[in-house]
Amino acid sequence: MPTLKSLTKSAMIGTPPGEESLLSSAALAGVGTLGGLRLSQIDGTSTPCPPETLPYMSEHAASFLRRMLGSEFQAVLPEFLRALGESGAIVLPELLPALLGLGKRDLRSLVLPVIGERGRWLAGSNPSWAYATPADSVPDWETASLDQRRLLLERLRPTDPDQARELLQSTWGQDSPEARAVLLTTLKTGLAQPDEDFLESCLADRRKEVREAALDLLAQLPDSKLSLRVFTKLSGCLQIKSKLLKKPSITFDLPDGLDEFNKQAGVNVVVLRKKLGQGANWLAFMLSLIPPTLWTHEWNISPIKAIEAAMAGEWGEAMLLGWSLAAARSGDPDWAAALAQITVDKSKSLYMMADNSLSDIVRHIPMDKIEALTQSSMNLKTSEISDKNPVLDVLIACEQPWSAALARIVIPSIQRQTGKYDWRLMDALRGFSLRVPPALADELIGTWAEEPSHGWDTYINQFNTALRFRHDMLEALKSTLTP
Amino acid sequence: MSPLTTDQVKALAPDPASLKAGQSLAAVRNWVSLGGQDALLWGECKGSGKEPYKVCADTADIGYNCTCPSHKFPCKHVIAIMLLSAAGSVKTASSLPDWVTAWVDKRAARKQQAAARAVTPKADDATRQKDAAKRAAKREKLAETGLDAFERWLDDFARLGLASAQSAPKAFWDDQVARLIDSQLPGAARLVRELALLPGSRTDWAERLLLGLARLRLLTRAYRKLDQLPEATQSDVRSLLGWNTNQDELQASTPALADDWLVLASHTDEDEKTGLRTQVAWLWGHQGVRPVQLLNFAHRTQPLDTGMLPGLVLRGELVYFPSAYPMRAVLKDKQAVPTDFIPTGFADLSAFQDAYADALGLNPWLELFPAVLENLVAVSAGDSWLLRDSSGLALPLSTQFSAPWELFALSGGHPLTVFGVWDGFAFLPLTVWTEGRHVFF
Repeated sequence: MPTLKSLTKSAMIGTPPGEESLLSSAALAGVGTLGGLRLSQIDGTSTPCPPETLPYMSEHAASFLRRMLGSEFQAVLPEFLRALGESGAIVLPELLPALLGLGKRDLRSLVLPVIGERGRWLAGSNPSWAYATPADSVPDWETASLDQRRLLLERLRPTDPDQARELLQSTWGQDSPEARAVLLTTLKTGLAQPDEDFLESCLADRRKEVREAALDLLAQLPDSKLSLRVFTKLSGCLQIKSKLLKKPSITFDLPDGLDEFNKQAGVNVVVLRKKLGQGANWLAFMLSLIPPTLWTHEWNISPIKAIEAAMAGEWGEAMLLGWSLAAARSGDPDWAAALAQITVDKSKSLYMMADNSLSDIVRHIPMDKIEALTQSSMNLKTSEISDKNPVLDVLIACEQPWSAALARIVIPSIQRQTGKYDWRLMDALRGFSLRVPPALADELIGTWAEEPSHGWDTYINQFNTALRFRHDMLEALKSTLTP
Repeated sequence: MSPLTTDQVKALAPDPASLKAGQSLAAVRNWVSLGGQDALLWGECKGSGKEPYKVCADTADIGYNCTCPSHKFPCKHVIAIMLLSAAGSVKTASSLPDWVTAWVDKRAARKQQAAARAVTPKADDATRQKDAAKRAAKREKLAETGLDAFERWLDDFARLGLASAQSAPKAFWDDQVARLIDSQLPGAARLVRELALLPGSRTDWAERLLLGLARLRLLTRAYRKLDQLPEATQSDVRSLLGWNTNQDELQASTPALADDWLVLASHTDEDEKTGLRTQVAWLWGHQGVRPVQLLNFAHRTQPLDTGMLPGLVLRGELVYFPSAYPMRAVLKDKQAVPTDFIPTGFADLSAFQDAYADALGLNPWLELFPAVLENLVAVSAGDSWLLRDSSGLALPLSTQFSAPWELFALSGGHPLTVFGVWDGFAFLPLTVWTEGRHVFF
């Protein structure tokens, strides 16, 4: 009897008129073919996944993760993954593909602890999930691809930074410029003094990206020779002057032979802000390479006094720009707090700092200082936190989890102001809903005005929904499924 | 209090917008009053009007009522109160408010009426019967003519060659579909409409098209010899061509199967052109040996049977539609019960092959063969995905399957139990049981 397949060939062409069409025989053959189904045999057995050692998250917790993977409340995902990791549970298997697929670099460290054996097993089947495969599955350095090499270095740096650097150096001469630029950035993790000589040598690399990455790393390295070289040069040109009855100010004398110095120091000056003159840009760039505490020691004054003195002089903008970058890089909490303070005290200071650097700075300020700053701004500026109070900029930039005390200052203040339209405040509320402590959900959700003025409703609802979601999601993580 | 989980409530929402609205209302502060008793929920929700909306819901059979003017069923208020209940935010009340009691009574009365209607057939009067017979005869005549033309169309198509289908104008199909509708053969029209989508759509489209045309030709021939066919096959032929079975008569005439029915899977398709929504649900009886299909139809905003939530177990009486291979049924007097079980499926793929052959022998027009399969491992082979049994036999997965990686992850190289449908060429997984859980795709 013909099969469906063989009949299809003739059916495609058709039959001459007069002859009976082959539909009648096809019915028999077709149904016969289906009914005579013989599935094919495939060989080879894959290695099954080893059993889990950690418990699964509960179905209830999974329903929250499913919503976030489905693009609802995506901003909450890092908080969820961190809490899940801390609870010692892992995600349900069917959620792994979506989670591994997110693969964003900054999420990786949060994703890896919660994927379990199943996740590592699964990652071996899809090249784009290679970052999650077990450590022993990466080939030798010599034969590894660029992606695999980066992965190897990322894994090795936290535990054995020297070996990682030596691996990188072993093929440095033969690697392509692109590879050098990509691989050098992995030294950011575990950066320490033994890396210095190698990084110094990279300042003379032919590739611009390599030179910039090396400079950035050296500027982050505490007590680096580079910072000291630049500091020595700059401290000769910057002077703090105190006159009687006048506030101190900082003067700057542009030295001669900048190009020569740049060359000697191994610094490629990049234009930081177009409207700055060449000298001011040079000053700002050099300041950005020096840990700002060196200045407070040199002049023996507090960071806030130093900033005020800089702003009192002609070079204020350049210095604030340089220091804001330096503070973000070094993470010094006193300088960070001082820059936040100046943002509140002097409204024009914010425009002098580097764009978007405020959140990198505020990140390093202890919570109690932010609370104090916020509280004092309310006594000083206006009695509330609003568009007119520059502390709002600091709070918007404060992306770390808030303390209960901070939330109890900020949210009630906003709740008192829902009688009038304040677009920036409404918009800020969206970010705040992700940072206030979820434990305060009931307290902060139930206290909004019954009838806020026009426009507020949406934002209040959004705040309440997001906060409730975070609260319920963390509650859901308290129970797990057994493995 | 509520046997519904948050996910099940979400599945009830008629569209994403309603769900979103429901979620934002699912906060106690939006409610003037809120209470529950057993499966019953009620509350008053603040709305734009002066009076709050009064919302009642019965989570046992997913009945609900709301005083809001929304045309969505269920509306956002009903979704919100069910979400609140799923989250444990509804407290048990000692007594029912009057308006809730009124709703409960009205429902009970309506149920009684329906039951009475089902038991006592309508008073037959002679003229009506005669009219019905006349109408039936007229329809048979119309069908005969329609089928003559349809047969010619099928044969001409085959003589011309299937390759012509790729370049055939839309009217080639549409005209034939319209003629079948005019001849009151909507079933055949649906089958032609489905075939129209095949050419060029997938690598094996020609085989699928030939089989589809051949089955239609077999159907027209069977209709000509209807009297000589077994009664069950007659029913298959007539329902495929588009004669509806009267569900009231069916329920009155056929003995019902009482059992607990697990909802294996459920999904709703909407035909954008006609607005007709079709809900397909698959059930498995606790004492059953194979899946049962429930079909529900509704137009755009009309409510569908919202109680068909995967994973739910419904206690009720099942009546099969007559067929040589009974599969479609109606479920009556259903009530959700808090229990759970896993169906027993085919132990391996050769048992599945045999059962499929038997089913086709009984009903050669069988479009979908639903099956629960045990001990299968998900494997990938290049671009395609397979389910392999312990002897190495492999079931190809449908290219329409949207979650192969998820299935692969759930398997992890270990055997699992799968429910899905086989269309003769590929398998579409719908539900998986593994490690004591069930997962729906």
